[in-house]
Amino acid sequence: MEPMKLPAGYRLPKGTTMADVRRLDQELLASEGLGAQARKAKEDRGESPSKKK
Amino acid sequence: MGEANDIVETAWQELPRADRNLLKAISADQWQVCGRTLGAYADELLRSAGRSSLSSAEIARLDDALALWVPDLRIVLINESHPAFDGLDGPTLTYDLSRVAWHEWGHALSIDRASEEDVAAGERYVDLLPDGLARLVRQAGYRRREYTHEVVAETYAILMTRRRHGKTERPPWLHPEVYELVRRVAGWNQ
Repeated sequence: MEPMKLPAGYRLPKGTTMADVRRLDQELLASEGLGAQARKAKEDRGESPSKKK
Repeated sequence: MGEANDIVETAWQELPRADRNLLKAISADQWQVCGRTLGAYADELLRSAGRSSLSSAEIARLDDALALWVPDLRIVLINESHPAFDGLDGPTLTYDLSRVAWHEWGHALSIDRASEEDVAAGERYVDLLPDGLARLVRQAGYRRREYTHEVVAETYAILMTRRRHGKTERPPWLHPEVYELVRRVAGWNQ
């Protein structure tokens, strides 16, 4: 019989939360101009879509 | 349980059709959302299927998991009662559960399809990840031989998140070698 393959889990490092994971995702997306952070940064710079020509 | 299951079902439907077909082809299209610690639950399921029991150390290790891919049972298990999901509002729970489900489907593809060379190169692939992602993989207590699968699963989950924004090509922050690994192993072909 083939040896059992151990289950593979999604675990977080001690002290890390899903909020940290979301923040990391948002930073990566923002680095290419995507997501809420990027939208906010554009708004802060007065570059909201409604102000674009 | 119903809401969580609906979220995972939607996450499944969001996968590119080719990816769903690939997961079906390797019999990785089943999941269960439960409210149990997953090491103990996976062990129960394995024993009831006539498989070997997991060691108590392995059960304890897997009990921390938010979700599991169980290769011998061809099922993804998600623990919706994990403290990481406590107190989240609807959109946040949707994001987190979707991301975790995509991660596990990435796992399933990687464990079945990664070559021995891919697995052996795990540390190198982690080195090529953006710093924050590399830290998540290194500090979560995975074994070295799990690194490649974690790289594929994490990258796959973020590629799916990004796909929601209409972006499907290689992200500028992702090393080309990692992107090629995910394309080859997980079938990402957008």
